[in-house]
Amino acid sequence: MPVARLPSINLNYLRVPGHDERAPGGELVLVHGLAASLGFWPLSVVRSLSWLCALTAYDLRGHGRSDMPITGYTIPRMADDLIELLDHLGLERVHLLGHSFGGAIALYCASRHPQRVRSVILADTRLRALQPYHRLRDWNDWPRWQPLLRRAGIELNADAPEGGYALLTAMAQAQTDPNAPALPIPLFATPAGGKRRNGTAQRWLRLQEATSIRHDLLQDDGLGPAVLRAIRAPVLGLYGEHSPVMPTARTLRRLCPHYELHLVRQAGHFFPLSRPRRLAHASLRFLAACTGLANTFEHLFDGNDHEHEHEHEHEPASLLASF
Amino acid sequence: MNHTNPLSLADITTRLCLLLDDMIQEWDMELLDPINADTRLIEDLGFESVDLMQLIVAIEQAFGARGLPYEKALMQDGGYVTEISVGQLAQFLSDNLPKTAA
Repeated sequence: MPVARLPSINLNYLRVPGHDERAPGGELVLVHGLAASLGFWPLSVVRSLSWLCALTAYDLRGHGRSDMPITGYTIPRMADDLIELLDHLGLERVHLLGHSFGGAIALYCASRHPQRVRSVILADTRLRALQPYHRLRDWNDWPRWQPLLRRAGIELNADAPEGGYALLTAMAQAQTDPNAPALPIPLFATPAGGKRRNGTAQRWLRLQEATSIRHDLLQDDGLGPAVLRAIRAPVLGLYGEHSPVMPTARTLRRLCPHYELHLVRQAGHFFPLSRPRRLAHASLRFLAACTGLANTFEHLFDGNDHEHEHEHEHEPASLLASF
Repeated sequence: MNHTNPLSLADITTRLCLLLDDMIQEWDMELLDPINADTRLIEDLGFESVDLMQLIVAIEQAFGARGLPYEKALMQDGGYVTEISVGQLAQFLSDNLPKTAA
C-alpha cells in the first residue's frame, strides 16, 4: 500500500483508477470517520463510484496504517493533512466524500480551500456548532440499543455530552477483551478470523491513550454558521433516518446555499455499511449532476434504487441498519 | 468445459502468488510456507478489508481487466467473506477474465 511522505505526516492511501481511464467525473477522495480506516468503505461503493471517478481513499492520521503522532487531531489540522495529500498526488480539484468526522474534514477543506474542492458529500456528519451535544439519550433508537449493549457488558452515561465517542470506545474495549460477551454488531468489522482482526479497535484505544485526540476533538472545529453559509461548493447531505445526528442535517439545510438533503430510509449513522448501495447511487447521481454528466450516466441508476430497496433486511444486518 | 482464456489456472495462480508476495513484503510477516494455492488470505496472511481492496486494484493492473464481478468472490451477506484461498481467487479469475483467444 502506498505511503505518502508529506511535510507533516506519513499517510497511507490507496488509489483506485476509474473503470474508464479518463474518469469523466474527475477525482474523488474518500475520508473515513473516527475509529475506522480506509477499509471502512465497502467494496461495492468503491467499485460503483469508480464508474464515474478516479478514487483515492486514505487513512486519517492516527488511523489505519498512517502515522500516529501524539498531537494534531483537530479538524483544521486533519484538513491540512488532506490538502498535503492532494498536493502530493497532484490532484488540483477533487470531490470529497466523508463519513461522520470525515465529512467535517471535507467541509472544512471546502470552506478554506474552495479552489480545491468541487463538491462535498457528507455521510451522516455531525457538526458541533450546529449540534453541540451528542447525548445517547437524544438518540431515538437508544431505548432499543441500551439493553443490547448492556447485555454485551457496556454501560454508558446516556447524558454525557459526547456519547458517540464514548460508545465507540466502549465497543472497541469490548471487542478486544477476549472475556467480554459478543457485541450486538461487529462495528469494527474486518473479515473474521485474521491475525489482525482487532486491529482497528486496538488502534482506536491506543489513539485515546497515547495522543491528544480526546482533547483535540473538543476544540473549535472552525465550522460555525457564518463559515457554512459561505461555502459555495455543492454539498449533498446523506443522513440515515434513524441517525442521532439528524439535527445537523436539518440545520445545514437552512445554512448552506447549495445543500441538498437526502434521507437514507431504514438506516442509522453507519448506513454506508448497512446500505452501501444507497450511498453509491445517491453519490453517483449527485456527482454526475455536479459534473454535467447526469444524462450520460443515467443508465447506471436505472431501477437500482428499487431493486435493492431491501438490501440486508435479514438479521443481524437489520440491527446494524438502525445503528 | 474448457474455456479459451489464454491464461491457465496455474498461470493465474502463479501470478497471484507473486502479487501477494509483493503486497505482504512490507508487512513483516513470517510465513511457514511460501504463498501457494492453499494459502488463506485472512487466516494465513491476516488480510483486512482494505487489503482485499488493494489486491483487487493490483489484480486489475496485473491482468489488465477492469470491472470483474469481484463481489461474487469476496462478498457474502453484505460483508466481506470470512475466508478465501489463493486457489479460490485464482479459480474466480479463471472463470471471469475475458475469454479472448490466445
